[in-house]
Amino acid sequence: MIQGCRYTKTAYGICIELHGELDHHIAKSLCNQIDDILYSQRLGQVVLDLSGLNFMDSAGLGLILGRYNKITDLGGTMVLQNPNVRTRKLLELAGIAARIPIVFTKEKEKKQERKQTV
Amino acid sequence: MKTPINEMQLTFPSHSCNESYARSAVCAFVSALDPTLEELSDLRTVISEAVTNAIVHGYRGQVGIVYITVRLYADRTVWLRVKDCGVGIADVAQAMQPLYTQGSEGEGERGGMGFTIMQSFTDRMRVSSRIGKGTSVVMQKRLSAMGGT
Repeated sequence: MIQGCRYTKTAYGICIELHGELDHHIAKSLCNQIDDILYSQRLGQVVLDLSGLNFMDSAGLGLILGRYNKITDLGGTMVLQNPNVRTRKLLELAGIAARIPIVFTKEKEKKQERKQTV
Repeated sequence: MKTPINEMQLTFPSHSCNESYARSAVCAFVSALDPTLEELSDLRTVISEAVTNAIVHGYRGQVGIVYITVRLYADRTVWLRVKDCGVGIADVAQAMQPLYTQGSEGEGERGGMGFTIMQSFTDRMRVSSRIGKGTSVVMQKRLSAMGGT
């Protein structure tokens, strides 16, 4: 998938993967796509996987915060998964890293470590 | 600053589909200075923020022209200007406060972080604006010496 989102069911809820660029142009339709998923599923824990994003700006921050609020209102929890280095920089600047849990899956963790030691 | 070693100008209508193009064009131009991946990413992001501001706030859904100028200097400084001839900002200092536009018309869910990001990712940023005339955002970023990672 080059651009857009798709979801899979997990043991604890759902995992929504985002792909491509996340800017103002794409944000509104992506929000609608994600909201359609949120309303159609039993939520539980929602993992928002950011590893497929090759660009994000403040529109992405807004999307993430908006979905976080919506998921919380619907009784679920949200975590951000595998943001790349540049996405993390933005999440930290916006204070989102302090509010929403960020997790890395094992293979992404290894990649991050390798990058840091090189 | 002295004379730039290179300069480009880009104009396009304020359609949001041009945000991606603006990012790519500016990054392609700056690539001549061999920036690091982080520097390129920072520039890509600040251009995106400034252009989106012009579209969302400057022209507010109407169509106008967005003007981008990029100058490269021998000391590896990148000078960027994003200009619109839109509605302008009444109080620039107030508008630059983080989260000022959060929830406002057009800002949608961007979160009001545009100026904060531009300031954080560049060395200098200046916003000039006149009501009814438009807004100009000038940013400068000096790239690290060549040969870094």
